[in-house]
Amino acid sequence: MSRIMVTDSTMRDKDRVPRTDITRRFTDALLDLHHRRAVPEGVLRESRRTWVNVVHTAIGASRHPIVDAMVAVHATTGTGGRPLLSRPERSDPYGLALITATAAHIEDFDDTHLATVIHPGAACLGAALALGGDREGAEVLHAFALGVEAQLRVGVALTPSHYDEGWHITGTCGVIGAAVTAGLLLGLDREGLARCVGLAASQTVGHREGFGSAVKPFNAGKASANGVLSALLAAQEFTAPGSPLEGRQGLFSALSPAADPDDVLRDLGERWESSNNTYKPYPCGIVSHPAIDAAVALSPRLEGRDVTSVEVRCHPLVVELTGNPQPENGLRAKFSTVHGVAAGLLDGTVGLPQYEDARVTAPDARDLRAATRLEPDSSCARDEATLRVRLGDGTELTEHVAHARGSSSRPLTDAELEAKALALTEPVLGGRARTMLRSSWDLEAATTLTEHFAPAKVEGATA
Amino acid sequence: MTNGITERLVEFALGTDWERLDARTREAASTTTGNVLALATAGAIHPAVERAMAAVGDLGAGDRVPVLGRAEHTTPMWAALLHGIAAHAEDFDDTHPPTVVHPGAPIVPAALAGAQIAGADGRELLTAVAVGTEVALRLGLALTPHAMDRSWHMTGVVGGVGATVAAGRAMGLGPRELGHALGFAATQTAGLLETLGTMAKPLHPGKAASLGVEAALLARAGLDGPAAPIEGRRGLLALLRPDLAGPQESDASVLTEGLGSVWELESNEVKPYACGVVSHPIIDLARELRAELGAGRGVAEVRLEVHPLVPSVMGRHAPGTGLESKFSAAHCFAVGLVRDGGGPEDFSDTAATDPALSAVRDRCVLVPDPTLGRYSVRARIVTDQGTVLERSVDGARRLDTEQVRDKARGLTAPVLGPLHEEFVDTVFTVEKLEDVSRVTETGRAVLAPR
Repeated sequence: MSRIMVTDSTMRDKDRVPRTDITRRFTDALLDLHHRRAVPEGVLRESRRTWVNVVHTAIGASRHPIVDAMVAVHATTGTGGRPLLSRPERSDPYGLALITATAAHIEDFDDTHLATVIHPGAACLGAALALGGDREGAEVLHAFALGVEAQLRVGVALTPSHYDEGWHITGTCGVIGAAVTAGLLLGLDREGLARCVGLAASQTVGHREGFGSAVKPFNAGKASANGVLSALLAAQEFTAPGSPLEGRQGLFSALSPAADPDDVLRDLGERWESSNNTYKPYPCGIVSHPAIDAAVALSPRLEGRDVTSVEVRCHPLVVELTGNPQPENGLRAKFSTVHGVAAGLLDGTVGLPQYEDARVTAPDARDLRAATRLEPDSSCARDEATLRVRLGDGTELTEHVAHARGSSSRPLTDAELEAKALALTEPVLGGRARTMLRSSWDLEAATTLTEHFAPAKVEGATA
Repeated sequence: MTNGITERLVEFALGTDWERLDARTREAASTTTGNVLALATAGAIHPAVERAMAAVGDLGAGDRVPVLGRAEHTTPMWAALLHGIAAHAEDFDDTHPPTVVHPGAPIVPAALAGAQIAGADGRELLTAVAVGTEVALRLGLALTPHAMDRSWHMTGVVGGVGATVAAGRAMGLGPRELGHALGFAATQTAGLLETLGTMAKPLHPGKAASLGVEAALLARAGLDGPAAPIEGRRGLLALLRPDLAGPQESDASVLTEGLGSVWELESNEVKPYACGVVSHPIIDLARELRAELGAGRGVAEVRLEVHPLVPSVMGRHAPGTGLESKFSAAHCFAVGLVRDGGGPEDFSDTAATDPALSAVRDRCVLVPDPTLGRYSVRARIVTDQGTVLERSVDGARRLDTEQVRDKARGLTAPVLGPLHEEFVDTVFTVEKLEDVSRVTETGRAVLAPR
């Protein structure tokens, strides 16, 4: 045997045995849970909510200009492929994943795992659409749930420095989640699923520089598509590293050398990160939400009177992540808490219409944003905010929100989730929106995923 | 401030004119292109390409183009993936020594795809290769050695941006569109060194090439990206250089200083051996030793003092497969000594398990010495007759123009048969083509049973 003599004790060498079985144990466990349909009912309950939420954000955004552009590039001609969600066009598995996951994330209205800030539903929904069309609903839900769990566990192990450094964790972890969902639905065996994750680990996607442009939702979309591609390649026995996460030059070494890849396995099957997923009540950065809650609550009390000034006592992250004082379009407005507050005060509700370009650039919105000041206060919790509004007639109104709607202390109820869902899909599906909503709760009853999405089919020529 | 880097690179990419390039630059673009097209064609039957073809063959929308060296057609984006894998599968492509980037495999297929989509001519294809390679290599300089120290595969990390420049230029994107396209490219820095020895490694240039085509198409379809994807606070440089706390003024200037007059492209070297480049001096040394000692002579001990990168990426001492053997410096030494070799056949699965080679391999010891240059090796050999020899090599062997063409002929003859001469002539004189489809026409596989 040739030996590598190490002259420098800090030099890592190929003969020292590192932990090499973490990824393999991870994928073996996920596959086993899938085969036994062993995701516990309490977790599945949250997985169903995750599914309902992200299906509706995807359908709701199906006619967004960003989706139009992606469809122009990736839609198949003729009758090949499968229909895209709520669009007349069809695409192949890669395109289905890319477009569906992008759509699910475009409006920043999807889900959030608070500890990591991962928005996990999009990438796994894309993978499900891509490869699960013929699969039974129960199998799809499990594959979806396990893909979500996989990406959240990787995210928990990598955080917090990973996001802080500038990586878009929804993408970097989403690719692993999509690979797991895709691999399970493709029926990969143990070696195959391990290879699948091995390939996904080397297809990292997502820099936060893309925020404020189409690149942000694209990160989620491409993560999904890369996961699907990984599964397709793995199915053909395309070889991959055996220790992609924990290897000496693996993903953790590249993204977070100080992190412990073993955390990915910790309490697997007992502690489920999926249970901690939350759903956004407003289509914008989550740190804005307590302030928007306050504005919406306070709005009726204005009674039509003019507002002179608004002060928002908030957590310092609000300024860092959503501090844009005068966004020039709807996309940028999602990173502007003062816009969310202004829209909430003016309109009494904050949904997609409040983030349309025309609403954002309207003079009343612009003026009220100019009169609104953020006051960061490190004693303010992340899901807390206090609004103080001074009116033209001298009145001062205050609204304090201790826990924002959608936070872990005040999760959206199923009814609130349904109201959000219908508001998203009624403009797209009209009368069939309620049917799709009912269907979406009942994925496990569907014979196939394609059947499950039948109410979301739109008429139109397959070009 | 480091604002404006993306803008400057876009200006350079779109403002460069083939007619105004000097002969050396044109030669470098031509050599890079011909070498990769020949490799992509020869590599078309590699198992990695077979499996990728099976995985993606049915994907894609729109018009299809031929896949080099094969009977199939796919869309330009997927063809770029397959060509990128094929060109890199044998690790026989090219290297920019200061950065260890292998630019041809991600960039040439993207340029070809872009030219096919837009109906561009050969000079546009070569210009696209030139500017795409230049951007990739300069990005590589800005990230060397930090990205590699952080386990990133340089070709994967910079290849996508270079491929996007190439595809965008060949497709005729405007400056705003190319800027947006770079946003989609920059967010996809990827590729782990953990993949060395597996098919996932050549997937990196394949992915880079295809993402470049896709980014250009998405931008052309109207999608927007951030203004500063490379230099921004949460952009490519910031993420791949977490060691730098503030604006990366001094390091980032390597991206734009002398753009258009000083060409890193001209330092891109065609690989003479089908293995990890930092072991090429080891093969040279072993071959010289064989010439000195005579064929059939053995060694009792071989101590190789090398740069620490060598045991880090080439430290496999018992490779079980051909792909693994390409990352075994010990195997490289054995190949040079026993076979006077270094071509793909010496890094096959059979070669990896050849007892004559493993006998020599087992007698090699790698000793890292941080004072040595990356391409230097100091050897202490004890021959089978007990003689102690000390030999050294500094720097990797270079191929001249004719040797590059000979390499291409040797590679393509088995795949293209009698057509291979015409193919090699075509791919090394792409500037003569009005229609780049000539490349893929002459690059069709001879349909022989395998």
